[in-house]
Amino acid sequence: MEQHRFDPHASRTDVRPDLDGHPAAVNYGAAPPRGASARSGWAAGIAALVGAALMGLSCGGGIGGGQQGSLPTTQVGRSSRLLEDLAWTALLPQYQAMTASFGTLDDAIAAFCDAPAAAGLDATRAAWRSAMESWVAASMFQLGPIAEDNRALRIEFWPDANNNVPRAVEQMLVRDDTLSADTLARQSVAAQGLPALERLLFDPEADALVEFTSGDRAARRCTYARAIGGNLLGIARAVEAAWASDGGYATQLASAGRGSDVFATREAAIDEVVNGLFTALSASRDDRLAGPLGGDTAAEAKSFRAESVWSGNSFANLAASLRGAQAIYDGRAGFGFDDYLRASSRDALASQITETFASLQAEITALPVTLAEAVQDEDLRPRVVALLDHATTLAGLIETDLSSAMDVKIGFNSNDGD
Amino acid sequence: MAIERQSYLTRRSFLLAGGAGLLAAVPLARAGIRAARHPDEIFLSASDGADGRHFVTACDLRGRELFSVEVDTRCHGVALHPSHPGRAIVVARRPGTIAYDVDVHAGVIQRRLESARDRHFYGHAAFSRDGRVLFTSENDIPRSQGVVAVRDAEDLRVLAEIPTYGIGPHELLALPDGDTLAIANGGLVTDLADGKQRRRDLNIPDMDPSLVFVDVRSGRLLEQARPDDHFASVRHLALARDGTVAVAMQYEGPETNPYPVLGFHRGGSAIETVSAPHELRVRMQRYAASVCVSSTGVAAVTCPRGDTVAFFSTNGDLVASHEVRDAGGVATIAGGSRFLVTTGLGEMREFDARTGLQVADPERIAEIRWDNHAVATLRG
Repeated sequence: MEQHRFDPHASRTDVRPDLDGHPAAVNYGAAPPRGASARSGWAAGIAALVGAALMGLSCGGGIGGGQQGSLPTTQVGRSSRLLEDLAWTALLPQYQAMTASFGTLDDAIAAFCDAPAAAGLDATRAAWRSAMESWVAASMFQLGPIAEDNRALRIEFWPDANNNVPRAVEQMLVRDDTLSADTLARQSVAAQGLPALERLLFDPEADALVEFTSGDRAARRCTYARAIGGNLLGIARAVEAAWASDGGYATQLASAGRGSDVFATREAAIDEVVNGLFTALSASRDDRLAGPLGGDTAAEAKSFRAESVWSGNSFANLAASLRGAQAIYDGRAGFGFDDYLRASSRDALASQITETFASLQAEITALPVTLAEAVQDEDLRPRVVALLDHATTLAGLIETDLSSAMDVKIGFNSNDGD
Repeated sequence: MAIERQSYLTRRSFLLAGGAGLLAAVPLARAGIRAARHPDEIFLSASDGADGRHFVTACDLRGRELFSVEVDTRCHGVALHPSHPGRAIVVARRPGTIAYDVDVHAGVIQRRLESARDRHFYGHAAFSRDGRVLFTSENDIPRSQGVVAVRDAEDLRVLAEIPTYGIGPHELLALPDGDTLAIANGGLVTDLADGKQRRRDLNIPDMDPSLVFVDVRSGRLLEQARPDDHFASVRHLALARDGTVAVAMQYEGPETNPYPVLGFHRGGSAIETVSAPHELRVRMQRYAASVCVSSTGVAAVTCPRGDTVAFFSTNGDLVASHEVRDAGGVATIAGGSRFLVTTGLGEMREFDARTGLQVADPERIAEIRWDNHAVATLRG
């Protein structure tokens, strides 16, 4: 959703995210000094380099932004601008937000474990929720560095139909081997990520504070929690670096059809992005809503299938997933698919998709209990069913209407993986 | 079992009417070019309808559907019997547990084959050259190791099981010596707990794909060839007349590495990737669906993610490439002089097997999504 008229390149030097995955401040001025903060200064430094690289990439071509403040006038120009803004304005900030929130979580774990107390546990739990939501928002874009090294599964192994996470956590707690971020990175994916940490922080079978302070495995619990925090931060930093580095994924996406090693044409990139958005929205609907709903009645509900069921963060995750998807759709402050549609006289569709995102968010906000409770509640369950229906509508708008407007085919063989 | 797709009814009656001369002028204006073209040839492929239902479909080369039999699950590979052109085994895609024994001439499923307990299929099967046994690539679920079930071709009973010396076996090739089976080990562990829709791969960092040659009588490993990059999942195979094996791969490594996903094995332990221009390698998008080699020594590879079909000589040189959206199946037709390429958009295209040039206009059945593999056979 383009809200500003601005030089699309100058603005990218400083997009500092807050914890819930949104850029808190978009500073159109110079980059902040390197090392301005221990966590985000590094990212901002890279972003500055990237901004400079991008200038070289698209200036002089007359495409992809072109004149300052004006909308691109040709289809090629619009596609280029869409991909540039998707990379730099919509997606990179999402990964920067993830790094920042994982950093806060790592710090919170350290502070809590240095002196375990109720306030520290609360702070760590809050940091976990922010980290989870920033991850879920970022996870809606499944291409690129996040797809390497099992990173997505290492951050969040879910759905977990076989209860691998509780078993892996149990095993990690009883062992006495050396455990650090580095050694954890080589363990089972189920033991490494946010659900494992959730299990420690929101232990459904015991009082977590007691377990962390005086339980017979208290020390191990902290060692393990610290390892998870460090491992997660390491993954987030690696992903962000792989996006922001010279010739990294942001550049590859932005330069589709203009020397990119990943996308031979702009169309191929847009095709992958729209297919990916549809796939992510469908999977999110199936896993986050259809799974816990179970069957047709409250008696058939499978509340244990809810994501983040121990912390009760399921609805917040769902909201984050929609924010992440919407960022892909509207490009945040950049030139997004909505702007592309409007430039192609498809204003009604552009608005319909935006409004569907908004009404889904409103429906989620209005639900007074957790998802696990709602699916089992005769009165509230219909509202979850309605959410599922509207999530299906949204996926359908992407699959049918957006893809047709963008001349994208939702692949059959291309999505097969065989 | 032969349930007709609702949406086909109108088209079928249209074709019948055309045959009766009623609407003949419309189709024949285009069909005239190819009316005499290999009229006895048909092809068989798994397909989906626009409504997501699953079928096994036979079609002639003029784009006329002969039958569609509805099946319970999405299917993938097709194994044609070497001496009975009317018999084929169609296998559910991984990690399916069902395969169908199809009478292509009658248009019916004769038998439904289920994998053993603790086993699932990987979407492919192959008959031995003498037609007496059927090989199915399978997963030994408890050990997460690849196996090939050697089955009696008549009753499909398992006679023996041999190891594939890898994880995630996919396409199989029975070599002409009658004793050797070439097996593509994809190298990926699929998370079976995740349901069958989104097939999560669990071991990408450690994957070890290979092409192996196994003696089917003893189960002995004769040779194991690995791609030069361990992220290149070896999935599909085709045999050239000189014994070269074309290897189609799917690259699971960094997206920024435009790995050429077609290679050739000419003996020894190496799979040599083709020399494609950088631009084409990017266009292939690290993903090949199907490969086929013609008697002229040209390999055709389909790249549905990159909307590309490319042709290479078996010495690895590029012959031609084309943009074809969602290209999936590829088979040789017309005595090996042409390739048929099918697509997820319901298209059927023909290419000269020597030059790789497209011949004639594409046919299309808009209601059909052809799956990744097509096999040509003859009318009954």
